[in-house]
This record gives sequence, structure tokens and C-alpha cells, in this order.
Amino acid sequence: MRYLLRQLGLYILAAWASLTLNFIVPRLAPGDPASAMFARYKGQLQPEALAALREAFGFTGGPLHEQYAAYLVHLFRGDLGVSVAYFPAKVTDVLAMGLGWTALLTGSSVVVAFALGSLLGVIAAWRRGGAFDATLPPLLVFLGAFPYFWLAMMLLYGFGFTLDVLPLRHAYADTLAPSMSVSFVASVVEHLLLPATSIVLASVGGWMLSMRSSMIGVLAEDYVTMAHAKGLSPLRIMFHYAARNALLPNVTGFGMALGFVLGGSLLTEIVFSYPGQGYLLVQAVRSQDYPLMQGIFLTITMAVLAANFLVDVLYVWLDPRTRGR
Amino acid sequence: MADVPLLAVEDLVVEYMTPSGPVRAVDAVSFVLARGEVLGLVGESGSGKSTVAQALARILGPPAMITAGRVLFEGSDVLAMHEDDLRRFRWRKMSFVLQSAMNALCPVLTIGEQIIDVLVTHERTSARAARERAAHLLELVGIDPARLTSHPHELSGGMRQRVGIALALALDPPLIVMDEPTTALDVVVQHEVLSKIAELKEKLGLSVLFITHDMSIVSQFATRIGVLYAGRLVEMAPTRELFRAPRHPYTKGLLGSFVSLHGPRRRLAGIPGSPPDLRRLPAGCAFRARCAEATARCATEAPVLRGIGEDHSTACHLVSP
Repeated sequence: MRYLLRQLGLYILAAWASLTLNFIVPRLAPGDPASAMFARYKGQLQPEALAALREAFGFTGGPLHEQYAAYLVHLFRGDLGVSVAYFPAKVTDVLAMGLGWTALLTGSSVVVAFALGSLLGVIAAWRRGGAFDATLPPLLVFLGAFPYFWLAMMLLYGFGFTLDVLPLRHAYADTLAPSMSVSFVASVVEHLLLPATSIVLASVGGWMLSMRSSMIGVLAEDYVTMAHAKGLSPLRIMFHYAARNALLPNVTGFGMALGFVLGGSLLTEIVFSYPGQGYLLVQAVRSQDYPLMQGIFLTITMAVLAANFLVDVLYVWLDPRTRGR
Repeated sequence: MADVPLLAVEDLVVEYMTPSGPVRAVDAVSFVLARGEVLGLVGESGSGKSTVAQALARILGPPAMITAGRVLFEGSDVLAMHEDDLRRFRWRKMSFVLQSAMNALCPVLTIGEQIIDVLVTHERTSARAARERAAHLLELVGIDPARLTSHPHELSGGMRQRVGIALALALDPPLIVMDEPTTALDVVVQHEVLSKIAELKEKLGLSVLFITHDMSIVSQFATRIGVLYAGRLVEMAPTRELFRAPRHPYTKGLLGSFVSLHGPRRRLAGIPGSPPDLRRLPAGCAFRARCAEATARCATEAPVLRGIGEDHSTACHLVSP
């Protein structure tokens, strides 16, 4: 428990550091977003409006420490300013549009890819040299080695266009309004299937290989020999004695992948026209939307930190050696 | 059934399948272990001691393969058993105390879970009864039953090895195989574990196959000793007899290379050279190159194990019956 608290303290420190960087970096760039926006409107904006924009973006012209204080206060109120690309919508509202979809798409695919890949890795290592082990890993690595956008487009072309069994774009059917109705949820799942499958196909091979190799190491351990000598059932040895130990090094990688979930999968979202964070980020960069970019980077940073903390918690649960430290 | 020995190993051959061909780690080893007996198996590292031990319950993993021989336990051949029968046989009839106290216990499970799963698997006892039995087993080896909820890393090396012994006793098996049970421990803890084994042996009348490279340890326990060299048994005799009158030059070398606290002072002698490469065993006697008394016959003809006295056998051309 003390260990977790210490880790939590560390992450809070890291969060503060990243918030501060997020404040400093845009201010090192020449000009300010309000002037950039003013220029884009080619004189159609009143000077008063420019001042209001500056105020909104936090570029008040005051001393840096005052700006910094204002920035932190705004942040804790959950106020990230106003988006330029989606003016006058608030950044938080814009983020909220994409965040849920991204969390759903990337989150579910990372979890499925990790769980499936680890399970396949465990089985491949257990039957090392068998038919399963000889065919599946090369096949999945082959799939993973395709350029991802090509794989995604092939899926889209095959299942969405030629066979016409799955929808081509968006997160749910245009004819439905978001609700918790069965038809809406079914539509969301239907739209999720293709992009999620493309991510799983591309990444499951990597998870499988790393699980397979750590599993092979664990299978040579004395406690596994001992478990065999104890006359336990193969399933029990495989999961309780071997897989639980082999999983430990892979949990770190899982945490990293989970942390980048909120960054969205740029290519997936573009190929499948999925309304997530990655799509927003492209919009933000195209229109020099600093507040939105800042907001997106902030959510990514926070997600990475949160995922790391989650891994620490998971580790304490999985590996008793980290407890009581 | 009274004359059927507890364990009879006949011409056991174990080979390691390597890319450059099979390597014989155990070559035609035969021995008998009677009920209540403690049989010591000694030899240098690489002599095949642990391979013999693990072959008995078929827990050798690839690339090792048992390619010939029989392992008769109470008359039935372990090597011919089907997977299910084999699982029932393991631990119930033959349990193990493995070499490394550090690695023989699974790091992510508690001590209790590792004792209880064996009880539940083999005896189908209730979880509660299994927990009571596990607590009793820990008491037997002098560990506080509150330790059932501890993980292996929370225990000292000596405690872990005693947990290993408690685990081996869990199903009250007729035979316990102890493979270097004290090797990874320091001398003081070694003594503590050994006296616990000696005490339990007296109390429970265990039959033990005791595997070690340490002559001084085996002399305290074993009723008979077998000496392995390069995968073959080179000498077998009752402990007293072996220490009093070793016949094989290798046994003589082994006995000359440890310090005895008792008896007259003598010069410590090692065995020159090192064990042969099992991939390229020379023709004739495997010990030839290190033997001071080797003759021309030793280079051409491999000696076989034969009786040379009451319960004493050796594989050496130099020894006349």
C-alpha cells in the first residue's frame, strides 16, 4: 500500500510537470493563436474580439507567473479555453465528442488484442513445436507486417464494399439518434467491428510472440517441473503456475498501449471515418487550433500517467513480491 | 507381494536430443530401493543424478527422452502408464524435494495454495480440511501455520526448503525423492534442514532416494549408496562398506576429496582432470582418462556392473571378485 501511495505521488509530480510544459511550449512559439486567428479572418474581426479571444486563450499579456496561475486555475475548473477550429465551442466540449468514441474503439481493441494474443501465446508455448505453434505465430506476424492502412483498407473494401455486410463509415447509423436503445447499441457494435478487427489483427501477433517467449522461459522453471511432479492437471499448471508468471513482463507493455489509447488511432479513424480523437487532432493541426491541441495532448498525457498507475496496481495484484515494499 | 521391492529401476536410458544427435545422460542404470531404505545417489554435476530422479516420475521435459528401460514401482511400470494414471501416481506414490529452494515454489502463489492444491487434486478433500492438513504439515517441519498465507519470497531459504519437505509429505507417499535438498543453503541452515529430514525419517519411517554430490551428507543418511559417473552406475554398496572399502577408483577419489572431522589426519586428494564430454564418450571405461591405474583393457572394453561381495557391486576391470 505504501508502495502504491509513493507511486501515486510520483505520478502527481509527473502530471504537474507535464501541465507546466504544456503551458510553456506554446509560449515559446512566435506569435499567439489569437493573432493567428485574427489574421485568418482578414480584418473582419473587431479589435475588441481579438482582446476577448486573447483573454479566452489565456494570453493576457500579463507577467508569465500571472498567466501561469490563471492557466492552472482554469485547468482545475475544467476550462481548457475555446477551440479555434470549432469556434466558439469550448475545447472540453469538442474533446468530449471524440473521447468516448476513441476510448471505445481503441480501448476495446487493445484489450481484446492483448487478451487474445496472450492466450494464443500461452497455448503456442505449451505446445511448442506443434502444428498450432508452427502455423499461427508466422501467420499473425505476417498480418502485422502489412502496412496498417493497407490492411484496414482491404478489410473495408472486402467486408464493407464487396460483401457489403458491415458499414463503411462513422460510429453509428446516421438515421439513429444516440440513446441507450437496443437498436442504437447494435448499430454502434456493428460499426465498431471492422475498425476494431483491423487494429486487433495488426497487433495481436506482437502480443502473442512476447507472451510465447516469456512463457517458454517460465516453463523451464523448477516450480513448473514441480507442478508436473505434483500430478496437477495440465490446465492448472498452464494457467496458475506458468501463465501468471509469464504475464508479468507483458503487463508493462499492456499499460503503455493502454496509455496511448486516448491518443486515438489516427489511421483507423481516417480509413473508417471514425469520429475519434485522432480525427480531432488532425483537424486541430490543420487549423492551427492550439487550445484544442493542448487539450488533446493533455488528455493523452493524463491517460498515459493513469495507465501507468493502473499497471502498478495490477502488478501489486499479480506479483506478490511488489507488495509490502 | 512382500518380495516386490518398492522401486526397481531396470536398464534406464535417458537421452538428450540435441541438433548434433542424441546424448546419453543416463546409460543403463539399474538399482533397487526397498521399503524403509534411504538410498544415496552420488556423483559430480553432469553425472546424470538429477536426470535419473526426474525420469522416475517422467517429469523430464524435452529435449530429454527416456529411450529404454523400466521403472517398476510396487511392481507396475511407470514408463508404461497412461497420462491419467501417471497423474494419479505422481506425488501420491512418489514426491519430490527439488534442488533449489529458491525456485521450486511458484512465486505468485501462497505457500498454502501450493500445499492445498495437491491435497484437493489427489484427495478431493474439502478446502477446509485441506487447510487444516496444510497447517499440520507446516507444524511438522517447524514452521508457524500462520505462514500459510505467506508467499515464497517472504520466507528464508531454509524455511522455503522446509516448506518443500512439508509439501513432499502432504500425501504421505511411500517414496520421497530428494534431489540435492540442501545445496543452495549455507552450512548452518543446511544442518537445520538435514536434522529435520533425519527426525522425520525416524518418525515417519520414510523411504528416500537421496541425491547429492556431497559425500559427507549422504553418509549421515543413506543405508546404501550408488555412485554415478558419466551416466553409469560405477559402484553400489551399503554405506559402511563403501566408506570402509571403496573398490572403484572413482569412488576412492570421491572419498579422498572431502574432509572428515573424525579419524586420523590425512592429505586431501582430488581427482585429476574433469568429467568426460557426454557427446564424445571414449571407447572403453569412461573414467579411463582420469584413472591412474588404467590398463590397455580399459581402453577397449567398457566394464559392466557386477557383484564383488555381499551387496557390493562395481564396474571396473581392475577389481577381481
